[in-house]
Amino acid sequence: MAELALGFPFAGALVGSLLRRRHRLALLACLAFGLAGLVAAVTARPERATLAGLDFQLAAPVQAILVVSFLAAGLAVLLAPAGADRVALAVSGLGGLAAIAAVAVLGNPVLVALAVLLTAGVHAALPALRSFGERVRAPAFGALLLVLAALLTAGTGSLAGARIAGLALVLGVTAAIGLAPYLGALDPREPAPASPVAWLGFLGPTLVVVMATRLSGGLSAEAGDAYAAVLIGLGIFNLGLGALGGWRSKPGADLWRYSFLGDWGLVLVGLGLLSRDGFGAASLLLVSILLLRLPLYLLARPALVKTGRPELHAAGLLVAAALAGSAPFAGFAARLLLLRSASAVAWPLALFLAVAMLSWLPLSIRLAQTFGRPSRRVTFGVALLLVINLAVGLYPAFILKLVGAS
Amino acid sequence: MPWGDVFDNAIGLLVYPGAVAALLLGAIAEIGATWALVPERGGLRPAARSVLAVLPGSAARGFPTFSLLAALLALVACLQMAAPFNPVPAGDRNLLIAAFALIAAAWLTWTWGWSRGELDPRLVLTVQACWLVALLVPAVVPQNFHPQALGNSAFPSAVPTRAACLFLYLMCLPALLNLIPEAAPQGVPGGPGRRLPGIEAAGFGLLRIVLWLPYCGLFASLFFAPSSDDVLGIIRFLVIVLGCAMVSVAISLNLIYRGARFTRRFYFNVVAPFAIITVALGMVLALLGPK
Repeated sequence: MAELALGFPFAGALVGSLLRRRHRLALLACLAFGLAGLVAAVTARPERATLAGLDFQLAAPVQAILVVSFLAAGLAVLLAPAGADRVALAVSGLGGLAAIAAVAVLGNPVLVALAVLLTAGVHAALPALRSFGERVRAPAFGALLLVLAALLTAGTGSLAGARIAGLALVLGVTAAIGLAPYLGALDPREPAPASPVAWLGFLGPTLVVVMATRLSGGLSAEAGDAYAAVLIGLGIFNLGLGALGGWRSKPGADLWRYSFLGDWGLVLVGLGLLSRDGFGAASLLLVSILLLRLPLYLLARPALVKTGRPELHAAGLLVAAALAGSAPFAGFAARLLLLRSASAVAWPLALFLAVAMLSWLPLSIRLAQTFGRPSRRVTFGVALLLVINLAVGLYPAFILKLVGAS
Repeated sequence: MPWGDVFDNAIGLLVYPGAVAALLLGAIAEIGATWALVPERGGLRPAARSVLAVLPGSAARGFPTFSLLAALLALVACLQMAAPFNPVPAGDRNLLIAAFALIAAAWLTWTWGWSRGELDPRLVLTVQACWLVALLVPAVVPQNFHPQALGNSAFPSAVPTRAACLFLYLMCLPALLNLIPEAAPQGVPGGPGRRLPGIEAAGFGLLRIVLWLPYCGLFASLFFAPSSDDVLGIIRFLVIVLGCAMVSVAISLNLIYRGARFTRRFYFNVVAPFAIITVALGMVLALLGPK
């Protein structure tokens, strides 16, 4: 079934493209293939299977994030602003899901890297405001580092080679996602499928979980230490840069970019702690990125383009609370788990994390102001996202159990 | 060569998997492409009518010699496919012949349509080079040029290269099958023809119909295990061939929809570097040795 989770969205993107000018039919086909892909992802078994010489495998944590990615794509199409080309959005979403599923289910690390490389190239070729070179540099470099890591892991028995493989793996994934030091500019006028948010909020979560669960599996214990240290180091760097950049930014696209960076910093630290709680926290944060931060950015994008005067409404406070990771939303449980896990390793790390987390409280209020005066559609979307996030926050054990971190 | 083999080759060239099969399957694919690319025309029947309209009738009698030569070369490539019931013995089929025949067919078309301002020779040349990479790199590790042997090869170390070549092959097809404006002398299927109805339009139209089977059939032969010589085998082969055709039409549609700038960027900045990486990967994995 794992291969069907890749096949259905791929076929859906193709059929959606073929029927592009028959809008209703195309949307119906995209919906049918998307749902079929979701069912395939939900029902896939973790055992390794071989088809046409290719190994397919879908481990439990990757499966959970893949399923959430399907839901995020559905939300993006459902909450698209009035007048947007939903067929184009659905086709792009299914294309992205096919890329995510390829990364999630392909058993061969070199193939995973090739899938990332191809996705990077096609994504950068999409019409956008920034130049192709500017957009392709980081993800293509990341994909090449992933190829290097895969070849080194398979072909070398030396400790130095394994350490370089670990380093290449982490740097490759961070470069592909577009985290600091490979951070790209975010322009709200760019269509979401072609903007860096596609990597930061949609393709990245699955890639990082695949890295943490499967790609790093070939590293020895000694190389694993170096891998974890680089992850924590990059996590702290992203967290610090996110907080600092957020404080210096006006309420706008830049603030959103840094808010993604802040969440990603916490994710990297959580994965680098190499503990069950750390992994659980990272997974919850990834779910929060997919089901809250990404769709909220998409809802806020039209207001960001207009660059109107920032306004804060009563509902905005709830949005701010959810974005900052306050109780009872999903981010709260993630942050608690992360602090618990970090304090068990080194209290200065936990202290730094706590300060960085608190710094996002006022910044999240500024983020919530970017919605301006929300339309009825935006209000409905925000309410739906808050309810989903509240459900995850009230019962995080469900997600933690799915990813094997309970 | 024994007379029996000559007869087999002649049957193959004229009937199956040659002329008759290529025309039938090509017509189906062309009608499908017309229907998908220009839906304003209506259903499949108007699409079929517009495909058949380019063939000789009141406006044209016969075909240009160049197009007939190119079509003949395309049929030679058809003989090299690992198609079920192919009368050409498996040992006589060779990937290099198919590659040279199809490249030569494309070049014949281009000598004929060389000076057309609306076409992009640089793009087509780049795509041909990438396609050759997709065609020949899978043969590096098995050291074999027989398509059926390549489809059957099971070297785990070659799997990433084969997968990369599969995608490369698919991405090259829109330009090779004349499905995008930059590479289609007669315009895209179903679109307003660039040549007036007549002998030239008929030649370009015929050639595109004949090209579907060799390109999509070689794809099926190279990247999938050979189909058995029975009805199920034929059905499986046809499904793969038509699936490949569908994917190439879908890619073309996306390229046309996003415009000429995207198409150029896609081929020069994505497909060409991906081909180079595929070659490099093939070399590295070949050096590591078949496992």
